Amino acid sequence: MRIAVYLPLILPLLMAPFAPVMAQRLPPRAAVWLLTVAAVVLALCSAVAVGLVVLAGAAQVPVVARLGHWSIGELRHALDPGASFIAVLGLLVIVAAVVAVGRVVLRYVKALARNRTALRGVADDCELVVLPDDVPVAYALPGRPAHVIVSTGMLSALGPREQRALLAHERAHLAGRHHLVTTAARIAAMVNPLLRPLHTAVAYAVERRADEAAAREIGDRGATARAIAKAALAARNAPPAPAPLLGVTTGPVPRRIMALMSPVSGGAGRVRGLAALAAVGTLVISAAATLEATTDLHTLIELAQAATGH
Amino acid sequence: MGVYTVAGNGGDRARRGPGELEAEILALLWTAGEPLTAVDVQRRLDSDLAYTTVVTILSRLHDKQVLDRARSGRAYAYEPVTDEPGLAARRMRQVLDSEDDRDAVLAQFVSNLSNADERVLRRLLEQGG
Repeated sequence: MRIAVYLPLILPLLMAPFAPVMAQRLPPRAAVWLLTVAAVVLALCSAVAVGLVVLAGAAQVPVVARLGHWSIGELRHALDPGASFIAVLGLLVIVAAVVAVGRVVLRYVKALARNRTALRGVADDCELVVLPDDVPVAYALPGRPAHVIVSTGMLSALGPREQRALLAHERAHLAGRHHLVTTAARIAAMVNPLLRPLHTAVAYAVERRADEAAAREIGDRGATARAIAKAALAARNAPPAPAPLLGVTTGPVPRRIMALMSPVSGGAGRVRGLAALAAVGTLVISAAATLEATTDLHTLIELAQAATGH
Repeated sequence: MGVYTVAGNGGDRARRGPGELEAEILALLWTAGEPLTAVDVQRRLDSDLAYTTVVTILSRLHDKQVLDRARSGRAYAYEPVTDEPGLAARRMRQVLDSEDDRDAVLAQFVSNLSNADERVLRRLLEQGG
């Protein structure tokens, strides 16, 4: 309990450095799955860990102890001296996380509803909705029916084949239910902020996955790469210009384009293997530590019950 | 662009759903800037679709009231229906202007670019033509 319970909270640190490598080097499909599963499992382990800490604190409350028939003295003896303080802290963390996650989910649902309302009366039975608007936008709107929404500003920046690449990309997002994947990763990152690099990696992997699907569908990696480049430049020059990023390093868009233009890599197997190993290792350790902490608290309480003679 | 798909991936074509073909043709008509007949559409398309397929899709889009058509000689010329005041577009713009909504629909085709990114992209496009 003493150390094991805190392990799941800090273990994401072990995986964080590998997340971008995995998103970049693993086949996109594998990257999306591995990173999302890792984020969700690590978040669950973190949540259970905080829950255990709170339970350990709650078990020292006299009313609870009397109801459960265990000895507080025995429990206090076995637990850290700061356990109750940490339990209060844990409770605050849980409340904050629940509120934050609830707000995100609510906002998400509301935003989808606003999008639907705005689209009312616009060709419900047509998957593609074209907006006569010079501002270049393109996105996938999940739901039933799902829509791909593109502005004329975006379409006119692209040639026919690039338009196909763009449409195929958005359709791949819908087919792969990528909105659920990224939302899951986002919530995971809210449960444990150390999982933020995994959320970023998932968001990138999902774009790569859609890029590869588009390239496969139109059978032209070059045109897909050009479509991304032209769309990105058009979006940048559009009024209102998006706030420039702070980073000087190369951002995700050029990396996606490079990935499409470079031959499908067979090498770098060692890096991939290492990254996957780190991911699986982190998951196993995290799950084991969570299990260990859970059985530990259970045993402690049983001992404390035995001490009262029950 | 003007480059046409090399035949040989016809197998892929068969697997493509009607929604995809509709979208491709609709996108084409929106950027054409003039009404197009089925022959025009077939010639300009990136995919090598059969003429009859193009006609079928055009009339289906017309049935869905997404396309308007007018006689042009012996054929119909099609163009996209716009809601005159562009109401839908304006409503969507408002929706997208709010940060929450942009996050929610995610899947923006491209994210923001840094200055360095922009230089990289321009160079890539110049090289690749």
